[in-house]
Amino acid sequence: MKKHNSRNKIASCVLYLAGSVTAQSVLAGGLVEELIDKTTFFGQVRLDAAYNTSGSENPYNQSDVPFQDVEVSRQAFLPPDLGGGRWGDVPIPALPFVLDTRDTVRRSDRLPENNYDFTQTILRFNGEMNTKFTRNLSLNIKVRALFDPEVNAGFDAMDVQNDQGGIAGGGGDRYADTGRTNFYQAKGRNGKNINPFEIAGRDYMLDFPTFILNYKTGKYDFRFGNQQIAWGQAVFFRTLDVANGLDFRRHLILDRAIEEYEDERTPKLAFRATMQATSNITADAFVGKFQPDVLPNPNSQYNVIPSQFYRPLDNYYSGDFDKKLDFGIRIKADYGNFGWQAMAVSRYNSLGVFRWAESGINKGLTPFGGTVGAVVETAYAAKPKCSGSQNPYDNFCRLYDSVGEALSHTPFTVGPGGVYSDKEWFSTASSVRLDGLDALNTAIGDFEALRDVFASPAANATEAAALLNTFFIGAGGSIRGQVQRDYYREQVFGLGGSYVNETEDIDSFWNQVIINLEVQYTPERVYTSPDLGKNGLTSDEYIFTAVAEKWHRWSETFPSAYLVAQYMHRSESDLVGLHLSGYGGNVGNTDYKRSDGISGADYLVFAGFQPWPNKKFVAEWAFLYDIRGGILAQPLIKWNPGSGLSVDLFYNYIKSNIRGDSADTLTRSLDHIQEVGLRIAYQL
Amino acid sequence: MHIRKYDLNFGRRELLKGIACGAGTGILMPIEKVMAKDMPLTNAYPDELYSIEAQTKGKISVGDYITKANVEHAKHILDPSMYDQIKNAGRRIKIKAPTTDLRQLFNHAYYEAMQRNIAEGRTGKFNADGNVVDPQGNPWGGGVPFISPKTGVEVWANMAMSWGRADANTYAIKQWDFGADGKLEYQYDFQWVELQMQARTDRKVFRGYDKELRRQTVYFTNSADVRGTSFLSNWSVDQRQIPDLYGYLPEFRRVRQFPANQRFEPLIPGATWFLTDPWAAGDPFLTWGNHKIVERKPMLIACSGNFSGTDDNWQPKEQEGNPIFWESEYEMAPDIIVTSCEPVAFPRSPVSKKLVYVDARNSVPCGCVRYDRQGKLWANFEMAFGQFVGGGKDGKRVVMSADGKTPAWSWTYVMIYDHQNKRMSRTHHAKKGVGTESLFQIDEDWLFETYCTQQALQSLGRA
Repeated sequence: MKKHNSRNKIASCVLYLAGSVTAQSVLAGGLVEELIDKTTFFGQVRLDAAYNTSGSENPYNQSDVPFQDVEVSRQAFLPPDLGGGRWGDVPIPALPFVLDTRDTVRRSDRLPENNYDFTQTILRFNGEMNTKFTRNLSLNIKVRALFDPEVNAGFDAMDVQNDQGGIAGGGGDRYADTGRTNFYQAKGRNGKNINPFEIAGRDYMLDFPTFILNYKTGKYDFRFGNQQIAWGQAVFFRTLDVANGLDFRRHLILDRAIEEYEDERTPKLAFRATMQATSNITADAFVGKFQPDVLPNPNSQYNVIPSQFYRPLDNYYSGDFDKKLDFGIRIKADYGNFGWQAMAVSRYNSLGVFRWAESGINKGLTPFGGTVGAVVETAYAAKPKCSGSQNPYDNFCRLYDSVGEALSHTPFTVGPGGVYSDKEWFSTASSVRLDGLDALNTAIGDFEALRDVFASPAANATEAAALLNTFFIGAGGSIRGQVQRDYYREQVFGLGGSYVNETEDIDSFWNQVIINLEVQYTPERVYTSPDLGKNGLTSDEYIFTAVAEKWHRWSETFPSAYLVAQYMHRSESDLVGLHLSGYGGNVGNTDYKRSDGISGADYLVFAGFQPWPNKKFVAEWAFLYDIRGGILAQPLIKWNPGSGLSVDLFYNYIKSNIRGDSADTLTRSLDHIQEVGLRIAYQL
Repeated sequence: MHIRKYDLNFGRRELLKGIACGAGTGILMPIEKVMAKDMPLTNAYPDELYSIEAQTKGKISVGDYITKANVEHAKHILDPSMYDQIKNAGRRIKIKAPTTDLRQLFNHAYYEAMQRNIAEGRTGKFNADGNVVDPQGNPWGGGVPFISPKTGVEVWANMAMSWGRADANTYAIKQWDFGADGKLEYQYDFQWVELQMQARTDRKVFRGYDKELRRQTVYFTNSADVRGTSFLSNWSVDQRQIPDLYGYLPEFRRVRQFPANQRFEPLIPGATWFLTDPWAAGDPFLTWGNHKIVERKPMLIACSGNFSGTDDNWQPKEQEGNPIFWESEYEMAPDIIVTSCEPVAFPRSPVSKKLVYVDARNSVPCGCVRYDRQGKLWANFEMAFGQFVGGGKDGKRVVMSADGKTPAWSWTYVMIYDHQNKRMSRTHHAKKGVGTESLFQIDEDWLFETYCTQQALQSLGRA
């Protein structure tokens, strides 16, 4: 009876959350009682917590960006467009109390410190309902509801509202930029949720990872609804696993490694048909609504986009990408010890392509920019308005009525918590695989309003530094950047083969090793360009993955350990999809070094688990090694004491400079993460 | 009445002699003759082999419980695991009257198939590879190949070729796992499916799969952490081959191939059984070796009954005061073949040997005791069987078999007691579970498409 009541409670919860009717009315009807009889319910409550042991904060968040605690000298220069020669040739002399053209700045003097001792504290409920209407027809709904009690609240934009006029909104929905740290919402620039099956707020979210109607008849199976589709044999490496994007909001990709992307795959509304074509061959096809990756918000614990930028404006709706379809087919064959698979997918790349964006925020330099700002405003106002075919490149004229209006047509906005110095600019750019010099020149080239406010291309880093510091001083502190995200269709082709090795000596370690080779080829894939250019960077990519799996019993007492070794080579992009030409560059509090790229990315994985007898305990491990010197290590111990309880204790250790240049490693972006994690789950 | 004709130890002596000379089943009359003419089993064995009173010198009678207090009187007719459970773990078993109708030990269709074999003088034989073939040399079809097994390997072949003694079986299984302190720790529901590709009662090959013997799927539906996990074993007709194993793990959301030699690993936390255990011959019989008949003797087994006392969901009663055990009914069986074999194809097996207690009358294993590498008693996969007759509101409940006319026969419960860790996995054949259902009238095509293909695993898997 207790169990029945418990089931009814879960049923109420799932049905209520499903949203069509209230739980009370649902449970009241006899028809529904009958349906509940055909239904299974599952519920689980879970605590996910992680504690930062690195002593470092996320370098993409306000409290620990490059040069956060370093005093940096800045000097304003006469712009070339105002007769200053080349950038840096003519410093504007400082006059005490009159012209503040030279200063030193330290970010931490301008911004409050908001550290995360706990990098993760999430309370969540996972519910599942499965109704079998008939032997053929069933409905499956999974609910994921989570709440963040905000042990550390994170950055609050209101704390800096009195500096440089605060962080201004405009030009799109700035829900994640202008207030307290927003941990979960993910919206397009028009303010609509990117995931239509989601309700989210700053500190909570609720979504339906699965909401499908399943019809199975004979050798055919059809699924319609919000769902995840996973292809390929490689674990963690997504060589053929291309149907769904990833949701990085909750814990990036740092959950229990053996779960792969269970909590990360972004579900999509899709129709999927699978067929057992022959005794050996299965065919699997889908067509679904394109659903992009979801990135963490600025200043959230696992944010990976510099918070000196506004949250990227997502053109998912404004670019009509929400109306686009992905589709694909896979054939998989197994012949005992041999197998092969082939797939073709036409999809929009879910990571998308980032490029400079017009801010749409009309905010000038005065009064925040002191005398330099006032001089620039005056100089701008002194220019006659361009007319006819005139432009600010070739003519001494202005396009807009004010500097503020001009800046609204550029990717830059005056405001606190942006970039304060040239050094910070270059280092921050390279931290996200951009080249600071190229990105600056591209912005100037793509947005004529920047030329309008006296910016002009820089020939080298020295000139760029002069330009940047002039603008930062003129802005009265820092300038915030703006990027946007677009998506491009690509055709992805994949081939794979599997082989189960059998040796004459059945006691050989190599007996029953399962080998899988997978290759992906994508012609004309479009990537974010390291200069944030508007057309991205296009190149053909191939990805090769080799996987060897083995279950090996070391002793009579312990069950077999699962061991998997993998190798991946990527010709153009890194594991998360950023182009390798943006690799290199300078790291942390160092001077500019050009991002000259790397020729290919190679990763090794060794992972596995060792159950204790009766599986009450399971020791797990996962090591990802970037052969250029980075490592991600995750040891984990899982305890299944029974009675519905399970406990995971793990440690995430990321390092980027085991050898070589850390700027060339994948893990450079995350090497601030060293955390001990705990997950406690209880089945209702 | 043969009891007057023979002395008390006649039956035991004959059984022992039979091992030495490779005698078949039946002391007074071959089992084939009993089966062919539907005669009572008392025609095959002297009464004293059926008599608990005779075997315990009058200390225990039908209707009695065997407990710690009197188990010493029955030690010689219990397997060592049962003896230890009763002696040291607080178990009790109730003694029922012996079964003398051979039909009650079989599924109807299976029985009929064997009668046809007898009528045709048809029996199995081993080919050069050691596999069982029919007289024409084709893969065996129709009933157990060796109705009257004379060697260890024949017994193992009988057990392995057709587990559930029907062409298609699908069981809803509920499992409770208890810790050493007797507390319930884990609870599971799963569907267990067996579909014979060959060795079928109709002697046909299912859908032309002539390279396969059986497809078998285990599909977990509860608890939440294992829900959606499933494994499909494709058994080759060549019993030297370890089955191909495919699995769907919810975390991966796709079907993956698993190494075939994972036969000694707990599939789920808390479980005391491995893939090698079910039906005693959980692995192809030629992947084990040194098959021997160790002993033949009368013993107590749970070969019949154990259904009428179950509830509407076919759940047995828990033992009063010691719920890690079901209340169980045991009876005297006249001829138990104690057979052993060793895992020769699994060099890293933690098991040194299995000792299986097989009812010679139907070649069904009632106890499978495995020993660790040190030769110590490890665990017993104890199975109870019977016709699904009795109980219900009016006491006349009958669950029909595949033909819809005759009573179903199947296993009723399985208990797997781990003697070394004092843990118990207690299961029963349920009418329904969480997302599971037992069926006896089965559309085999539906069963195949729903459970027995890779696509089926994908479809069953948690989305």
